Amino acid sequence: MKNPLLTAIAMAVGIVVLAGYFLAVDMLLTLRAILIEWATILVAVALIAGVINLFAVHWRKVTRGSAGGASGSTQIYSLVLVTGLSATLIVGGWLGPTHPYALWIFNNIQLPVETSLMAILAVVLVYAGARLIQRRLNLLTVVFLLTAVVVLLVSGPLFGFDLPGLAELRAWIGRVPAAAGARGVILGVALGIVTTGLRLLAGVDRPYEG
Amino acid sequence: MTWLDTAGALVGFLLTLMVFSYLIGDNPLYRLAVHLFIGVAAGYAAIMAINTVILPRLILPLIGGNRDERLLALVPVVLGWLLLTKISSRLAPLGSLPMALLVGVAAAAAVGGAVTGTILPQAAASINLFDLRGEESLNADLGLHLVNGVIVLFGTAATLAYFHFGDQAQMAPRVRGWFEGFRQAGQVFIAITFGFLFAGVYSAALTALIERIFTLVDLIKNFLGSLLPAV
Amino acid sequence: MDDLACPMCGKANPLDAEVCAHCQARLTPLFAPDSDEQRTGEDEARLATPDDFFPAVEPETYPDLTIELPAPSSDESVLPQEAADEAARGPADLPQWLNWISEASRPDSGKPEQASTASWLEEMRPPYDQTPTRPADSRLERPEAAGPLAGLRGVLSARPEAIRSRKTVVYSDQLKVTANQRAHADLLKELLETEGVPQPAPPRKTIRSEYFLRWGILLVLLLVLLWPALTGVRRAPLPVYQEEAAELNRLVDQLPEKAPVLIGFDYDPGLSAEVEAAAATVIDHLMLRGAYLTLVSTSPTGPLLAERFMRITQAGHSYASGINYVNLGYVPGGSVGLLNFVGSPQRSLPYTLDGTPAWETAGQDGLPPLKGVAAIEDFAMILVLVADPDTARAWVEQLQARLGRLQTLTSLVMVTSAQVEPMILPYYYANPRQVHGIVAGLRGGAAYARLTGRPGQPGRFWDAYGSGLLVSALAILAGGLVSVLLPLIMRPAPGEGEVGG
Repeated sequence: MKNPLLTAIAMAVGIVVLAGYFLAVDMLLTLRAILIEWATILVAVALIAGVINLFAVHWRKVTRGSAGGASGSTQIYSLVLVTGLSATLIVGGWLGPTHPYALWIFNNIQLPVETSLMAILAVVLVYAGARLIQRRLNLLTVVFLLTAVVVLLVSGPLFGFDLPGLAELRAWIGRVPAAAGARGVILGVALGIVTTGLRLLAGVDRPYEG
Repeated sequence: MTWLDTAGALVGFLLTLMVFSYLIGDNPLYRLAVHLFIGVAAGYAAIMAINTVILPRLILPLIGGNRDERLLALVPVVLGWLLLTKISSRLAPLGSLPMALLVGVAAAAAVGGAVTGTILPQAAASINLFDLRGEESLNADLGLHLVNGVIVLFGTAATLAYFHFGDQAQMAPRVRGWFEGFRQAGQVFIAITFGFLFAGVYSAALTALIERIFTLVDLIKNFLGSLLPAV
Repeated sequence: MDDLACPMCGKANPLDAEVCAHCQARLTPLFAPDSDEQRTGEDEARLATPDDFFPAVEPETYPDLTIELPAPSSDESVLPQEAADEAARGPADLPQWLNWISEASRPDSGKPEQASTASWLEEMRPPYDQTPTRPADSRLERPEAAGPLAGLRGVLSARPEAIRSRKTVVYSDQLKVTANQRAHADLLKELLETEGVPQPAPPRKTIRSEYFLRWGILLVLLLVLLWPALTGVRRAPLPVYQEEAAELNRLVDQLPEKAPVLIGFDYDPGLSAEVEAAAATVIDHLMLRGAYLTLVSTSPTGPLLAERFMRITQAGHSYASGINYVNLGYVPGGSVGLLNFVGSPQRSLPYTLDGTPAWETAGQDGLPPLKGVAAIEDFAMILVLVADPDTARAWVEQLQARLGRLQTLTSLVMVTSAQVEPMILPYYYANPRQVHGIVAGLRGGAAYARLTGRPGQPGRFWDAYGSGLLVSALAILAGGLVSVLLPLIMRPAPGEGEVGG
């Protein structure tokens, strides 16, 4: 459903913010700062809306149970989630986020789980790297794996020694061929961002409607 | 170490083992740990949003600010309430107005940043590789520097060519052949970059694994040390 | 019984039928037959042919299609209808060429005389006793001798011989289904019948072959990593010179005492082990220089990580919140939030994390770390701790827009995870530089620690790190070699008669 008012607002706001990157007009910069501040506040509101929605979905699973389509185990998982969320809100909201009790929850629940999730990735990546050639054998796979193996070998102390020449080899790979590919990638990403952003600013794409 | 610290260490130890159990396969212990983590993370996100944004920049200006501050704060208050209607499917269309403002600002920030922060400086950097005025005092091996510069420029252009999805049928056959070869060279540079990235990702994951193991060993050592003080 | 075969569909019809009962084609011509040639029901079976309607014509005797028009009357203005009206009114003044109308209308004309027809029309009268002839020659060069296309070449023959009458094919109403098709149809029927009926989930095998490989990898890694953890051995030397880390070290050394430094904590808790191990040496160096630290984050967990970092890794320094460092909290919105903060830090984050007014204004003194700081370019250094390439890029882009325009001396340096290093190096190797120093991963932190002479956390993990990398690299290499060589080894030997090799 097309709404020209919404499109006009998005375009006008976008043009003001974009113009501020290139023009140093006082009134423009003031208006730009106000719009950006409003947008920052709205992002925080959107985050809270997301948390409310998360709570509502899992609360529904807990209270309705099998009638709402949730199995027994799903109810328990949702109950755990709701309990964790509520406890964090109460402790952190009442005592403050930097209170020792609030930091206790962060240090002993969130941090170990996230770090452990990252740690099991180490096993998964070795397994994936070992099986990669079996799944797809071509020149690019070989180049990819050889680069990864060389960089891994020379990133640490090889056989307990820091062998000369290896550090320079690693530095050269990072400075020249890898940097060339990375520069191409980030330029490509930036061009894609510009294309997509200009489509939004021109009103061609309107994700805010409906 | 207080009892709270001990309890916390035990809780962390248990949660670490529950997450590691995923290597056996998806199981209820792993899911419990992940659900608890999601709840806690969401709670902290909400607290941070309220403490550092909503309260100081929305509520306090409305309550204690002067007239101008209140008027300026009124607009995001109204827009914020409209945005909250997105939770309800029935009222969701009301939230389109603040979404339009958000999309406009975010798109402009992304475009402006990409142009001024990446495209222009990085394009200039690809050319300035051959600017030897500053390099003479820093690097005696100018020949190697030039060779590296040629490789970087070639690699950057080849990588960009690989991402070109335009219509190549309009090119002359000979030009198309050269362009295709150029793209293949870009693929090789991308493979090298992604191999480097893979090594980096693995290094980060390995460090996390090392930290977990060291933490678990320290906990066991402390526990055994408290039980067996003579050891 | 003799039937009349339809010329169109070939099906049998009664002899007295005028139209075909199957396809409604006419079986008799549409004009009144001559009395001598009138058909009877006792006529023998014959095929009504197009020649019944269009008699065979020799090419040489192609009919003259010209129409003989009557001579024009003396009165050219008289229209035929008017002439007929005149005839109806009376014969007295009828033109000569219309006399036949008045003669025909006489009541005593008796039996109407047969109308005289033109010779060409006479010749078109169909012969009723035409018998089927042999099929027409299929050669297209022969001119057609009969039908409306008579005299033309390269046309389909209208003769009955060209249309072979044959017995109607009888089609069975039973489908010819192969066994495979029957099986597929049964499967589809079963699927449709079981739709909506919940099926019990098949029991999952808890142990699969790939798990053995994963367990093996985990076991090897645990053995390799447990030894340094249990023994605390530190034998491996820290890495030597790294240009990016050395550059960062030089910039920190050049900072004046009590220089305001902005630190962005923008990494996930999952990567805190690596980033904190790398950043600990850098921030330790900053604290040794006496720098004032301002902490900010665009991630919701960033402020908590910052607090944790300051309390755990920098416990050896007597840095206190509000005195030596301030934690401004969380700026939401990613690039938008950064744009807001870079444009106006005071408006963006007016309070610290615990609610204290942070900035210096007309009515209050700001906190010591923010004295003399009104804008982003007033910071002597901006250090970003980041573990995601997109976040790192956002910092570079939004700061570039402001710092690049103002040509300030504020340097932007980063401590990153190893996974960010290749994507951030182009900004370091730009000319002019966009990022002035980088410490990447545990390796970068260890190199920095070697420069400062204070190993810290990187030194603690360094031996285990090196062993783990070596084992992993060898495992990946071995897996690749096995994948390539095993098919060659397991390939069956060529049989008799096959070409070997």
